[in-house]
Amino acid sequence: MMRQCSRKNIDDIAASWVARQDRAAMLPADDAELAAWLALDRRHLGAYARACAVFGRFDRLRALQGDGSRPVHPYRYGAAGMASRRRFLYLAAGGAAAAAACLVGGISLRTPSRRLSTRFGEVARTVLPDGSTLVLDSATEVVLQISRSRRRLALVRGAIRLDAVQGDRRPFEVAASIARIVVPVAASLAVRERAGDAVDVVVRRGGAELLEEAARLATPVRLGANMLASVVAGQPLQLVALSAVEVRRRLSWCDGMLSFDGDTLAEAAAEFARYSRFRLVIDDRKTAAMRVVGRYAADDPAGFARTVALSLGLRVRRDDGGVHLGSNG
Amino acid sequence: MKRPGLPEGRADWLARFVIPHEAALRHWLARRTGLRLEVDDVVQETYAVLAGLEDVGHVHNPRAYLFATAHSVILQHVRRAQIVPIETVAEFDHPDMPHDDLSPDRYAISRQELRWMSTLIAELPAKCREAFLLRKVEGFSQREIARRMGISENTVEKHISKGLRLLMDTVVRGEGPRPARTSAGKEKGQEHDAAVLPQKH
Repeated sequence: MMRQCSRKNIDDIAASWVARQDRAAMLPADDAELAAWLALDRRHLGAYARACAVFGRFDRLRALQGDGSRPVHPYRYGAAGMASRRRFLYLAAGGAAAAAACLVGGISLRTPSRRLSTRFGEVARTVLPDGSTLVLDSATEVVLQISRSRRRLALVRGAIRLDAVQGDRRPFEVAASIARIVVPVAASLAVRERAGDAVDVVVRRGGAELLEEAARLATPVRLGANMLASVVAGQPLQLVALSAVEVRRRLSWCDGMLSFDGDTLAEAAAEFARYSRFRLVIDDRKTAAMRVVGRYAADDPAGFARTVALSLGLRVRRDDGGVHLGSNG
Repeated sequence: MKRPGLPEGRADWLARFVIPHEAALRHWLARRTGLRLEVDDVVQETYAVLAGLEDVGHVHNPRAYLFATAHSVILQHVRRAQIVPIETVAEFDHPDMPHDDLSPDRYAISRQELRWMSTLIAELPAKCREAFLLRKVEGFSQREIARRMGISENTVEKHISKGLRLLMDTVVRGEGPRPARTSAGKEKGQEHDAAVLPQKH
């Protein structure tokens, strides 16, 4: 971040621009000077927008004064500080507004065996009877068998994140199409069923053991924290060490966010397509190859399009098919 | 009023729906220690993002939107910084963003709001306060204020500018009954100590 000018200075300048604008219509030269200042540093726009907002906020005073109060002669304010303050507070006597709280409850499972699924675009979080937490990604189906003697989850389709608590002698087993994962300790991991007989396992915390269903692996492979195992039918097992940031990014769908770190717009659009029927269409190849960074609400592809268009200088067009992103040229 | 650099009506939207939540946002940001980011920087950049949005018509819950925007600002910085203390990322793994499902009607004219604003204005230096009140309560132009106060227009502009600058610092204390702590209150240049303010009226 550029640091040539202190934040307090930026606020000073922003406030003086707002005061100048408030004085009279600005000359074209002033407008140009302000535009140049705003273009100099992104923080200038932030400070200026905030200054405008704070100034505008106090426009409400005029409306509020009309709220059952007599008009007050201006010179009353000018006298002694305390007197004016008391006077002003007197006008402002009144009650407080109550705020409502919004509670979002989760579902908890009681039955030992159960099928759980999410619809397209839905991400569901649930607490299992043993205290483990399970998050189901969009369009996911699992079968759970939790009893005193075993903890088993079969991933039928989609992806899950499991934050398993340590079981007394009962490891947590996750069975996917061509891989089985045994979790003997407290651990946090994600398992995704990919197209074409492939399974990705990411361990975020703790450890797990991976077994290939086809039994090509003689001994279980140990997966530690920040490891990705890609199991693809007919191919050797791939193990990749990930950074903690990358792990976090891969799990960001759990809190309804999608996060990108240098992914192309085409890849991002495909990710959004997993959560929303609202289509994000990339109009040309040049745009499709542009790279994005950031975290976005999975259910708001339109908001993503707007933000990206702003930062990459793209054009946004809406039609019945969805939102189109394309180059300006 | 048309503002260069801001889409039509954006300043008003920020004033009505964002400023009232800034204190809560700062409070939330300040609790996230370990970030090598100044709360003020995050807030400033958040405003820049909100100012740059083409349209805010899709924003149904400005408070949640504000928090999510600030959150993404932080994440972008965290990425840019390359070296990320693990605790920092963990803090933001499951942001306990305070949610607010109250409708914009909440910001309808209220006496509480008037009381809050008047408290902030009452703290301004006398000349600033007078100019500010003449401008905002009585609706006089800066030229008219100059005439009434017997000072030059340039001086009025300076008073308005200074008053606004001070309010930009104090406004973050928030309107709610819960006093919000902010980093701004500790910095020098803050002319009024939050501690001398009555917490309840």
